[in-house]
Amino acid sequence: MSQKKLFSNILIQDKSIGRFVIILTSILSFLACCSLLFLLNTHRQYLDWQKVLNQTFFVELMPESKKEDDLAILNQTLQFLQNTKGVLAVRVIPEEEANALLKPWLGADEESLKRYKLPVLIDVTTNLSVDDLKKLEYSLKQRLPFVKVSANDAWTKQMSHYSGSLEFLSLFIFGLILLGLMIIVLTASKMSVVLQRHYVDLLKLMGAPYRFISRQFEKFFTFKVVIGSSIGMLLATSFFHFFLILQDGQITIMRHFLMYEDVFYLLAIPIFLLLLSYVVSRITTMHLLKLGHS
Amino acid sequence: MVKDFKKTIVYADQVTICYQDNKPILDQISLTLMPKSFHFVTGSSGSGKTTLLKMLYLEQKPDRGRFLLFGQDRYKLTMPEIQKMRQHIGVVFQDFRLLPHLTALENVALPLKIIGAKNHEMETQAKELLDWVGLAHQMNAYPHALSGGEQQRVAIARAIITKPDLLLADEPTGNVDDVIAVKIMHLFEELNKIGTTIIIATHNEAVVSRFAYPRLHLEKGKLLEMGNVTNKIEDDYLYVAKKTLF
Ligand SMILES: Nc1ncnc2c1ncn2[C@@H]1O[C@H](COP(=O)(O)OP(=O)(O)OP(=O)(O)O)[C@@H](O)[C@H]1O
Ligand SMILES: [Mg+2]
Repeated sequence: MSQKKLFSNILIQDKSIGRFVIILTSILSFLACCSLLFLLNTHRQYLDWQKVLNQTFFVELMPESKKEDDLAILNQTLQFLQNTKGVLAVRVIPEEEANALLKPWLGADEESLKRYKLPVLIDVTTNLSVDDLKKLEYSLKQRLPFVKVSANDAWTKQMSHYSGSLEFLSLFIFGLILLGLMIIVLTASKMSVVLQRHYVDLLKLMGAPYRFISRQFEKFFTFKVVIGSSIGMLLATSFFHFFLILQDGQITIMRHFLMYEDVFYLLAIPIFLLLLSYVVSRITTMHLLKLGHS
Repeated sequence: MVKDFKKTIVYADQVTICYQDNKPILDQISLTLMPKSFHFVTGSSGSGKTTLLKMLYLEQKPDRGRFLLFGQDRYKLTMPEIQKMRQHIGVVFQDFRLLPHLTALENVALPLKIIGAKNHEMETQAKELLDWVGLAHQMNAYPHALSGGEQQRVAIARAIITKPDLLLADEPTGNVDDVIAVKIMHLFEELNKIGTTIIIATHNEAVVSRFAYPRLHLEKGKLLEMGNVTNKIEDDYLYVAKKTLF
């Protein structure tokens, strides 16, 4: 006689409910991973843009009345910039190029352009951090009052709003997905308890504590959710890998997807879903068991 | 009347139980059972034997009257107390209620699993009991593959595996022939000897008359105590029974 392990399952759970949970959680986990990856990408893109925006900027020299002063100020400014640590390149933009740059702001007319005294523009590239840049701006202002650093503050702010709202949106969707998962586990636990009512009642009559009974359901659902969410996570990972990153063998604009450390975020999702489903199914079954007793 | 409720196993006073329609199934019955007693519950079909047992294993709450189990007021029991109490009650259900997806061995071991016994303990005890009821060869069979009488014996083994303080058996000999019925009765007597209070609902007159234990007779919702014959079974008779029957 073959000897099998005692009590692999005390309650036999409905297979179709198990499949239902696996399929729905894999879809939800796929979406959750997508929204998480999207959030990470957006945030990294933002940091990248911020860095780029900060590291190239214009210094404007406001025109003085006397020509000689202008030249002196220009030289002083160039000298100061070149002697600053972290400044990589300084280039005075030729008048024509500057005009072309300013044209859209001042009107298309060549004649009217000439009427303005236009500022001299210096294109600066640095590898300074945001804080160091602020310091540079401040000390430049102290020495040379006619010099204006036209850092891309406005752009940075816009970018921050833009990426902030995208991040919020993906976080919100993530939250909705978790809510969806909770509803699924809740419904499935409830269905299971109702389907097994006959055996649950028998266990109760044998004096089984509620914890003992609800453990039979928790085990089942946590297991199904782990399977489902792992499938979803793997699908999402390969989806990003094959369709978004390596399109035609080239890295596309989504170059911030699937960095090395994302593995940890992605692995965190099944674990998190596992905990969530454990808690939800436990609360649900315990509640139902308590309701069932008169 | 017994004054000291604490010492009773069952104390019921003027208990009434009705189902949906207000016709009482048990009508103001009073009952006092002391520890280690052995009783039959008799009565025609539909007289309320199962209902009485349901009340005793705390499934059915009395609608009126006073009911104490193990000296404790039924109405004051909390759920954990009820669970603890049920762990000390063995029940053989009239319809067996075996779990269909568990083997005979697992079904028998389930009460031990519930009280958290160790695996090897469960296994040895369940095997021993199955052997006692003559089902050693069927221990890995699932209930659907067992005959009615075999299922009944599995149900009996399950009810007594924890050596409960109170054993409630509803028609435990309903599906077996007389030889096995007598074996089962002897098993209950063994259990009774080590201190279990036993209540057997049956309409098997042969068994009731063969084992002259007091009888609680249900009729039209009323309970009549009859034939309070204390049958002193000879010790060597029991010894022989044990040796020859099991
Ligand atoms: N859950 C229930 N709801 C309504 N009526 C019930 C319920 N259970 C039992 N009854 C009724 O109560 C009466 C007594 O039933 P019970 O099962 O206690 O009889 P019994 O003495 O065990 O009969 P039997 O010898 O056939 O097993 C029956 O008339 C039955 O119809
Ligand atoms: Mg009955």
